[in-house]
This record gives sequence, C-alpha cells and structure tokens, in this order.
Amino acid sequence: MTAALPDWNASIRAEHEATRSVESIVLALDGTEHSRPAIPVARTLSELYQATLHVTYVGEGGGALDLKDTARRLGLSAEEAHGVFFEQGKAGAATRLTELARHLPHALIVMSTETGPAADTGHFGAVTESVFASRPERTVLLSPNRGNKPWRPRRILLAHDGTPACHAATGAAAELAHRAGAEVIALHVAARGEEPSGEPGSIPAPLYVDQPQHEWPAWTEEFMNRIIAAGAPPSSVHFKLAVTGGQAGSEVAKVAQDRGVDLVVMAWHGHWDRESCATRVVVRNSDCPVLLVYSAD
Amino acid sequence: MNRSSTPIKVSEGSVSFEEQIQPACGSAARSVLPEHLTTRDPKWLLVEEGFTLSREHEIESLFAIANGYVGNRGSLAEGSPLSAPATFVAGIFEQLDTPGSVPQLMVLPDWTSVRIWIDDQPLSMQQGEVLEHRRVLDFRRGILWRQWRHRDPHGRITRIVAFRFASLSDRHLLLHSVSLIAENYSSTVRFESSMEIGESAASLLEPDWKTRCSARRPNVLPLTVSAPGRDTTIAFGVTSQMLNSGQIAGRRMVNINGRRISEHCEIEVEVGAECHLHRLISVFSSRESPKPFECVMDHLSHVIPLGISAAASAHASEWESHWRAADIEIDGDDSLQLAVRFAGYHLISAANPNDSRVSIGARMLTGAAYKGHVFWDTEIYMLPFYIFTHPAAARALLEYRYHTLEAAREKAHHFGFRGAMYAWESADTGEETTPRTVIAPNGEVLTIRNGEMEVHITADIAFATWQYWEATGDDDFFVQFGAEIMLDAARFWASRGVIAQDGAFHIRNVIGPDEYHEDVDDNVYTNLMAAWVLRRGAETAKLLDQRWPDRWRELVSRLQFTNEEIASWIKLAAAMFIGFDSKTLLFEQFKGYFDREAIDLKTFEPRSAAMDIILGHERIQQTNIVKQPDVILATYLLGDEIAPDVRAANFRYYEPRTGHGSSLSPSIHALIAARLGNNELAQKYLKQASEIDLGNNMGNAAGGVHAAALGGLWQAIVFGFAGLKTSSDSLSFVPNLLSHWRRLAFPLQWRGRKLAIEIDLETMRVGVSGTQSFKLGIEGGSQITAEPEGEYVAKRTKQGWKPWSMVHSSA
Repeated sequence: MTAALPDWNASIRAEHEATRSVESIVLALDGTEHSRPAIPVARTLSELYQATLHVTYVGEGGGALDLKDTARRLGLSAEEAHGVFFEQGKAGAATRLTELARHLPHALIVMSTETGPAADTGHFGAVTESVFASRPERTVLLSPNRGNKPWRPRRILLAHDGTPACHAATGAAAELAHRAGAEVIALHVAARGEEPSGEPGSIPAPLYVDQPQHEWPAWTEEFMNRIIAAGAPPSSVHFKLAVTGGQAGSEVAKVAQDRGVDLVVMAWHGHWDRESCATRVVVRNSDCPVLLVYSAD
Repeated sequence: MNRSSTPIKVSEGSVSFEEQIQPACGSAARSVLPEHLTTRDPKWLLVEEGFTLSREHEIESLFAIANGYVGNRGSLAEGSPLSAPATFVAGIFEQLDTPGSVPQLMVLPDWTSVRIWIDDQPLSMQQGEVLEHRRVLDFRRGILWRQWRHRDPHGRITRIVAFRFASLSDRHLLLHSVSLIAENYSSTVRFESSMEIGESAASLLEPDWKTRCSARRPNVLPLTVSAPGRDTTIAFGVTSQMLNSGQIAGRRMVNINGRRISEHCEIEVEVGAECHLHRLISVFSSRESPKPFECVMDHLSHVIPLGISAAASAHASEWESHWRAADIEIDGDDSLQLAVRFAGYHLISAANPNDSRVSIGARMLTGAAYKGHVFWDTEIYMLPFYIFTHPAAARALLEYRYHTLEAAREKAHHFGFRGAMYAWESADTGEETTPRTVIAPNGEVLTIRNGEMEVHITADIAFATWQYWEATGDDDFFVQFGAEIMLDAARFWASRGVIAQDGAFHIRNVIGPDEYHEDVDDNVYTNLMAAWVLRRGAETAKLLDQRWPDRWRELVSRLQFTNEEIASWIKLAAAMFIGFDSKTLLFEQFKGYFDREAIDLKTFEPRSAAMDIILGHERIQQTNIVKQPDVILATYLLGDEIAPDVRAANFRYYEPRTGHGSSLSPSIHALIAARLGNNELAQKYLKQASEIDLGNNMGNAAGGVHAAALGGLWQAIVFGFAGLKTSSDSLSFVPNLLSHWRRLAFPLQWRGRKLAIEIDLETMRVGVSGTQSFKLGIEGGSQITAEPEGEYVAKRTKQGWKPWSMVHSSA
C-alpha cells in the first residue's frame, strides 16, 4: 500500500542552485547485443534533456571506424543514427569514453553493465568496470536483459540514505522527473549492519521512535524538507516517501521491482570494488536503468 | 531617543507613520549588556560554529530559549530556506476544524524576525560570504547570542552581534537586541522587524488601538491573536529603541494591520558606526486576564522606564538562583558536564511554578513535535528533577494533574471503569488527545492503541504524587490535591482488573512501557505499580481519617468512598498477579513473554534505526525485543520493595533484550547499571543518553528537545552514580563514580532542607541546612542521625564506605 503522503513542494526554497543539467549524452556501444539495450535509454534521455547524443565505440579492435560503416557496426538503425555524433579516438575504450565525458559539457554516460568483454564472475563487463574505476560524474547503467524495449521514466526511485552526500542525487532525480512528468519515490532504507553516518545534517530513519503517532509525521516532514531544500526540485515534481528496513542494496532493488520503477537514481560515493557494496547490488539486481550520481564522501 | 514625527496615517485596517531618529552618543550608543552578564567558561556554553542549513531545525530546538511561560526556537532572525521559527506559550492550544484533529500547542507569531538591508542588498547568509558565524547558548544566564561577520556581494563587511532571552524573572517579558557595525562602508542601513499572524489563526484588533495611535505616539506595537478552536486570546506588544553612534539621524516607519506589524528603521551609517536595535516584547493571554492587551500595555509601561540593562540583570540573577539549586558539577568529563548543564538548562526553562494548569509537553516549549502533549514523561522522568531542585515547580506540575481529574474520571467512565483513568496524551483540558492512527513511511497504517491501553500512566501519576509529598513533606499539597489523586487512582485500579478463577487479580489488555507489545495481559510494570497504588490509596484514606478528618469526610461525601471499598484495595493488592519465578528471580514481563521469538539484538548491530523499523510493527510484537525499560524500570522505582538480587537478575536478563527504541531508555539503563556497579554498561548508556539531542548526526532534535531524556539524564547522575535513595525520614547514598570522574557535586532540596552533595573517588560530603534531624546512610556504612545543620563526611576504604562522621555543626 502506498502511503498517501502530502506534497512537500510548496513552501521550501532550495539552498543551492539546481543541479547542472545534462547537455551531452555519451552512449557507449561495443558492437555486441549486450550493449544495444542502452540505445533506447540514451535516445529518450537525449530527448528529455534536449542534449546532444554522442556515440562512442568501445569495442575490441578500437581505432578509427569507417563512418559509413559505423552505424551498422554499432547496430544502429538509420533512424537511431540520425542526429547522432560518432566519436572516435586512439586511446583504449574505457579511456576514450571517460575522456569524452570529461571533455563534453555536462555529460551523462549511458551504458550496459556488460559493455566490453566479460570479466570475472561477479564483475560487470571490462569496459564498465574500467569506466567506474575512474569515478564518472553521472552514469546510467542498465542490464542487457532489458533488451531493446522502449523506455520512458514515469516513476523514478530516489534512493536516499539521509546524508547530505545524497543530495546530488535528489537534484538529478527531480530534474529528470520534471522533464519527464514522472513521480519520484524517495526511498530510505533503515540499514542493518551499517553504522549511522556521522555527517552533520544527516537524517537517517530514527533511532528513537518514542511515539510513532508523532514521530513518523515529524520525521517524514523533516526528511523531505531537507532533501528538497538541498535538491532544488521544481515545484511540479511530486514526491512520495517510502521507508524499508534491511540491507540497503537489496531493498532498493526489491522496491524498484515491486513498484514498477522505470529508473533508480542514487548517489554513488566511489566505492565500487566490493561485491557487496550497495551500488553494485542495486545495479546488478535492478530490472530498470540506474542513474548513479557521483558524490564524494 | 528623540523623535520628530510625521502625521499618522490611519486607513481601514492599518496604521502607518514615520518619525525621525536622532543619533544617540556615548554610553547610550553602546551595547546594553554589561560585561558581567557574559559567560566565558566553555562548560556553560553550547556553541554552533558556522552554519549548516540542513541542521537548522535541530539547531533551532537545541538553542531554544524559554521560561516556562513562553518559549522561542533559536531561529535566525532573518530566516533561511529551512527556518522554522516558532513561539509557544504554555497552555495555549489550538484545535483545527479538520476531521481527526487533536489539540496542538499553537505556533504563535515569531517575535525575533529582524531583517537588515545595506542599501538595497539584504544581509543574508545565502548571498555573499560568511566570514564568521556562531550561535552561543549561555546556559548560565539563559541568553542566546549570535555573532556574525559577513561580506556582501558588494564587498561591504558587516558585523552583527545579537542576543535574546525570555526573562526568567518576569515571565511575560522577552528581549531581543541586534547590534550592527559597518566595518568598511558608509551606507543606508535598514532594519525591518516584524511579527505576523499565521494563516490559521484569527487576528483580533483591540477595539481602541486606533484611538491609542491617534492620541499619542504608539511606541508599543500591538498584535493580538485568537487560538482556533479555543476561546483564548494572546496579545503581544512590541516596543523598540534604535541607537546610532553616528552623527546622522535616521527614520522609523511603522505599519500595523490586523495580521502583521512591521517596523523599519533606516539609518545612514558611516564606517565604523554602530547601530543597536533593542526590542522589548510583552505577551499575555486571556488565561491570565480577560484583557490581555491591557496587561501588555501596563506591563511595558513598568518595564520600559527600568531599561533593558535592568531587565537583563534581573533575568540573569534569577538564572543564578536556579543554578545554585540545580547545577551538577562533574570534574573529569567535559562533554558530560556540558550535557548535564544542557539538560538542566532546558529543564529549568520548561517549568512555571506560577501556573498549575499547565504541564510540560514531551518537547517542552522548543518545538511543535508531539503537539505539546503531556505524557508520563513529566511524572516519571522530569518530576524528580523539580522535586529535588525546585519543589514549587513540581507542585504546580502535579496540581495540573489534579485539575484534570474530571477529564480522567470521564475517560474512566467512558471505558466502563471507576475512579480516574488519566489520558495517555493530554493537552489543556486533560481529555484524551492521542491520535488514533498514523501512516508509517512504509505505507502501513498503524492503529494507535496507547490512549486506550497504556493505562500505567495513572499509576505513574499517583506514584509521582506520593514521591513529591514524601520528599517535601508538603502536607498542604497532599491534603488539598494529592490525596484525591491517590484515592481516585486506587479506585481506578480496583475496577480495571478482574479476579479470575485462579483467585488472582489480573489486569489484562494493556500496553506497558514496552510499547513493542500491545494488548498483553499482566504486564509486570503495570501490575506492580497498580498494586503499589492500591496499597498507598488505602494508606491515604487512613492518613486522612487520622490527621485530616474534615478533608476525609468531604471526600467521602463527594466521592462516596466506603470502608469496604478501601479494605478491598488491600486485598486486591495482595492478590495482584505478578509473573515471578522464585528460582530464576525473573519477572515475566507479561503473560507469555518468555515464549516470544528470541532475537539476538547483537546480530543487528551496527544499526542506525529502531528495531521496529527494521523488523516492522507486526513482526516485532512476536519477538522478545523490549522497546525500553519496563520490568527494569519497575525495579528502580519501587526501590527497597524489590530485593537487590532480583533487581540485578532482571537487569542482566532484560538489558540485552532491550532495543532502546525510545529516547526514554538509555538513561534508566545507565542509572541501574551504575547502581549495580556495572560501570562499563553504565558509561555506555550514560553516553548514549547524553547524546540524544546533542549528537549531531541523527536529526533527533529537529522537532524539539527530548524532555524525558533530559530528566532521565539528571536522574542517572543523582540516583544512579550518586546512588541517592530517599524516604520520608532518611537519605542514603550508594556512590559509584566512573573512574575518570574526579568529582561529582550537586545541590538537593529535601523536606525543607538544602543539601550540598560532593563526591570524589574516596570521599563523600553532605552539607545540610535545615531545621530537623534526619537519618543519613551510605552503602555499607551504618545509618546515623544527622543534625539539622552541619557537614558530614564519609570515606571510602578498600573494605567499602566508612560511616558518616560530622565535620562541623552549624548549630
């Protein structure tokens, strides 16, 4: 049952300017079927952000492509290739991709989790892994299992752990929701097995619920006030709040599936190497694309 | 201030005028707060350095100022995107006309709003560069300071020093002072101070305020508001003074309409010039007088001539007096020292001994959370502080319960019981105000049953009543008020339970202090306390009959007590079902508790949320996880009625099963662990208790400070680590300091005596000032008869504490 919770957008003014919008979409394709599912997602994002779509080849054998052959090599139809910039470079695949994203104005990388040759069991594609080792600013990752289905974000899940470090994700989720006319479910997982954050301004799920009939309305209002004040959402964006308890990554993926979410947005603090890290768990287990917004700890 | 004025413009619903402000020179232009009212000792100061917007709600709560009558959050005067300024007056509730609404403490107009412009540039932390910013709460003087140095987008550097307080010596008086120094510019500076009525409240214009305005200069700006759903009027009067050290005059513009008063003071400043805006605010309500605005005018007419400095001195002096009666000194633990003074500050700020028709809400007058509702928090957690440091305030709090007896009787009647069934949550009338449902953030709709089932509050109130009387010897209170509470509470318990086929008296379908388990039978805390009340009820009847027969006859006549009924209370108490295993020495918290699913809480550590969030409301009911002290609390409150080995066994059993899902929990665990000599646990829980509001990483205090936790912290120190135990004729101590504490000292008031307690690791001293001798004991040492005046010392050896010896006598 989804709680009928009030709309928080009316009265809070943002502390900061809205997150810088996306101006460039960088789509990474390696020419295999594994990377193709990223195409419709990149296309939609390019339309929503009114951003330029740049396609870069990250397959094996690198180097220059014959431009006439590029679209075919990358599996793009003529329509899909229309209006797209094809980027090439001499460096290795992951390096080309990350340098392009840094070079272009306000770039968002879109790629399949299985981009590049399969690495060890439990890891994503080699190019995906390399790109993430470089901590890109904004990236959408998606499973190749979603195929070539059209994609449109109508329901966005914002995973928020209550820390100010997550506010970057709030702005990103709100902006996209505004552009797409989507609703945002702000999900807070009362994490088990994790120390409470010591970051000033954090508001995790309460450790003390003296009287739930008072504590819950107060906490939810405070939680939403803080993330909205930090995330500068346009007033048209409708937020709902949900709280679950358990392991953070699994819960986010589960709620995303249960609620038919089209996009998960979460802040990512650069921890990528551990198999158990929440970000990796979400990306691996979500049926929908996941937008990761890098925010240093 | 010299003024020359333009004509007053009066239009429909508003008044405006301008007047010239002449410069004031010399001493008149300096800050009015004398140096001796500024505290420098950091152990008395709570400091927020810098500014973190996302923490603003917490900061506003922590830095709130109050005097038991009026309270105000420590909000920024100019506001911020997250500011939630609020003024509260104790006893002023509103009830909105929406389905399911309950009375809530009314958020009154913020009197601290002062915005500043330098030319047309607003002075704001969101624009320009904050060079320096801090808020300082001076616990010792009860003053909130703000120091702010700012460079605006045009490079102009301004220094602001502001202070405010709610006078403890004159509870209807508020003071706010803002000083500005133009460090590197000459410009036009404009101050705008305002008060505005919120949308839900109705404005009431005094019928003759326009006449006043036209008759003389309105140096008092009026604002009157009525509380929705209540026949209560609240009146504010604001008067201000602008002082300018420069040689150039300024002007003052006032606009008053029914919902907003605003005052603009515009001054031309030169480099290095100082401007001071001093504001005095008076507040009265129709609870004190049918003409609150008249009271405001009379009040200010007396206060204004005395001046701001005098008001500040009187206020600080009153705070000194309160601290002499309440300050706990801990040498060797600075963070704990600050935490106990933080607790003492808010406890002193919350009580008003002059008003017996209000109590203290769960968040005091520091925030709107919990709607200002009163819980058992007051009697069990906060009241001991007042009993032993400010008995007049304790009495007023208990008289509130007397005045709400009728509502308690009606509630009992509604549920088919007799006597007084106190509301689980009450506001101004004593009627039950517990909300019926809440939507949890996981979407679940929770039915709130505490109003119906958490009946132990009636025993808690009776317990506190007796505790006050025993500790003060205030027979007048007992006869006039306390006895009736005791009798009606006993009558309630007699009707609340049933004698079952086993011959025992059972109390079923309750919620104990452990709220993770609802609708349980024979909760041990409830039953033990109920039995205690039944016995004390019978004792009350006997005492009245013997010592105050007139009063007894009056009560008998009015409330129809009979000898048979009184006698039945003793029998019911004796027959009370208490789930106790004499082999294990364990109480079964409620019937079937031992069969609940065993959960090892350690497997959930670390965690950042309460266990009922992690497991869910339904699941946790099936487990053995305890929300907060229940059995453990009973073993503490009932003192010597519980054998030491039973207390210890139950602490060992229930402590690891307690999830501490309530802010009321850690302090009691600290207290009992200290008493049992388990210093590792005592220190752990003491730290946890001291950080509930002051810990900066949880957002706990956003809706107000945790009043019960603050009272519990005081109890942990005094009853736990000092090990104070009292009866009607004796005091004894079980001192147990943490190894890094060099010294613990605190004052007490007990049965008309003033005591000064001082403990270090080897010595304990008790200084007494009173009129009667009493018994004084210490753990392991024999009890002595102490003289009315004198000083006693006990020394600790390897074998334990030696008996008391007199150091000197003042007799």
